[in-house]
Amino acid sequence: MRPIDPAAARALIAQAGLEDVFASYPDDVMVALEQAAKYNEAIGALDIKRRVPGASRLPEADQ
Amino acid sequence: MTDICWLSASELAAAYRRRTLSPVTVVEHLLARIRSLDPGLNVFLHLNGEGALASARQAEADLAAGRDLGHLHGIPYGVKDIIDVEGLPTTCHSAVLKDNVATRDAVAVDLLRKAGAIVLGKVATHEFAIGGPSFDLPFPPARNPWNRAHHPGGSSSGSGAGVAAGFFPVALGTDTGGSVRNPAGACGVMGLKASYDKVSRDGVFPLSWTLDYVGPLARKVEDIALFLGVMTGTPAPAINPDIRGMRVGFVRHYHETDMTAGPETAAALQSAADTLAALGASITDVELPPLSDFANVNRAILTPEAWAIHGDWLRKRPEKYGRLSRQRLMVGAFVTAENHLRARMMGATLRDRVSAVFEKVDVLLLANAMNPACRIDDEEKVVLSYFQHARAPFNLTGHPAMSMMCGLSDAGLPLAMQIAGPHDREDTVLNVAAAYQNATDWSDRHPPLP
Repeated sequence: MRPIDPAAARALIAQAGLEDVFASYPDDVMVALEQAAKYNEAIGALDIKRRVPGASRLPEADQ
Repeated sequence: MTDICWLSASELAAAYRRRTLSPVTVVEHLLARIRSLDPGLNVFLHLNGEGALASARQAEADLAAGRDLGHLHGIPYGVKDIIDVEGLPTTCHSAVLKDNVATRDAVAVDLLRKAGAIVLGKVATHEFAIGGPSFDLPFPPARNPWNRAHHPGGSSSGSGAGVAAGFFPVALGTDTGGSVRNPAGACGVMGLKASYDKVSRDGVFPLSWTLDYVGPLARKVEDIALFLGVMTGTPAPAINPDIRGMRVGFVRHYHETDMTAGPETAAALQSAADTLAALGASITDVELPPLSDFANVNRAILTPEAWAIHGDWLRKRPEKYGRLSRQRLMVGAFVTAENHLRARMMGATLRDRVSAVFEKVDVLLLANAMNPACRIDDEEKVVLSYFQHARAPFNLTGHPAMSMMCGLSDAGLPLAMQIAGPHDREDTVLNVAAAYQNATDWSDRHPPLP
């Protein structure tokens, strides 16, 4: 897994509204960020067939 | 006669009707046992002593007067402390809800109450069913009755430990990534996660509402069936332990290549497969999608759902949560929406692929944990244990899955397997479990307690 860039981490923390939590519990926030990065990377790497609920269809041209 | 504390719910029900035991005698006996042993096991967060005795007296009077509510009338049980019981605390093992008292029963509890079952108390969990075992919460973590230095599994820790310790014959737990089946396996009892939506989640504090299940833990298959029946508002599945001709798919690659089980666990699984074969089942190796796909998809769904529930509280009062909860809940803040939804799409595909396997076999036999329970104070190994199991697939696919003991390690800790079945075929799972139970003595083994 690629290391998390500190600037990117700060942006993600701000986006999640977790600046105050980070100020009090920086290690906990970083553990969560790193774990989420692993899940994002793992899901991103999967070859996932696009499926939507109900009667919706995804045209081949879109794929 | 077997000590009262080791009698199953089915055996208690029979004894009540023979008038050889009464609900009051049983509840008094269990309360005395709990008061004697629980200071070393930390199963109970709230013991409902007076309430349970009052219910026992009522049940005794009802049964004597012929007002028989059925097999669960007068049967004591424990309730994981994220499930509401009217008038009792629901703390979720957390300072966040330390003073919360439930104003009504969860639907499952209400159905059990109407069937005459008696709540002995609220029992330990990981904080909000995710953050544990932890030592920075208002209540200590439950311990494994087989060895108090070891983890009882989680998150339904008190449910598994309490059943194993002979505090109650049955308990309710919840299972989002295996939290009924993990403590059942670690504590040498059994636990069932039924098909999705089969047992109501109404009145249960959610962890991840599309993956959450309520399920019973017990020492005997018959008790699992009785509780399942009442909680689903249907007759208890009739158990037929004749499995001759049953097609059992052995998911060997989960513990041999996807992950590597410890030698004792691997040997116990092979022995279980051999036992089922000796009972007349045909065992064939089958392949499911990779375990890592299920684990990652499960977490990419679970964590954003959990964050949607806890995010506001955690931003405002992070100090109210334990360290492990903070770390695990905040993951959901950083899983992208795209990946969350792609995980859902992948989940649908994984569900179809598992369902397709059930067109070829009647049940699946597979690992539960890859190793017996580790020491509870070894945080690194505890964390690792939550990545080394084969429980996540069925939360995602919705298929029923059950954990039960299938061995004992050299160190005296339980080893466990899983049996999973097609949608709505809990009866098939229970039949195989009953056949195995009858052919072995694992369900009669108890921890080294007084």
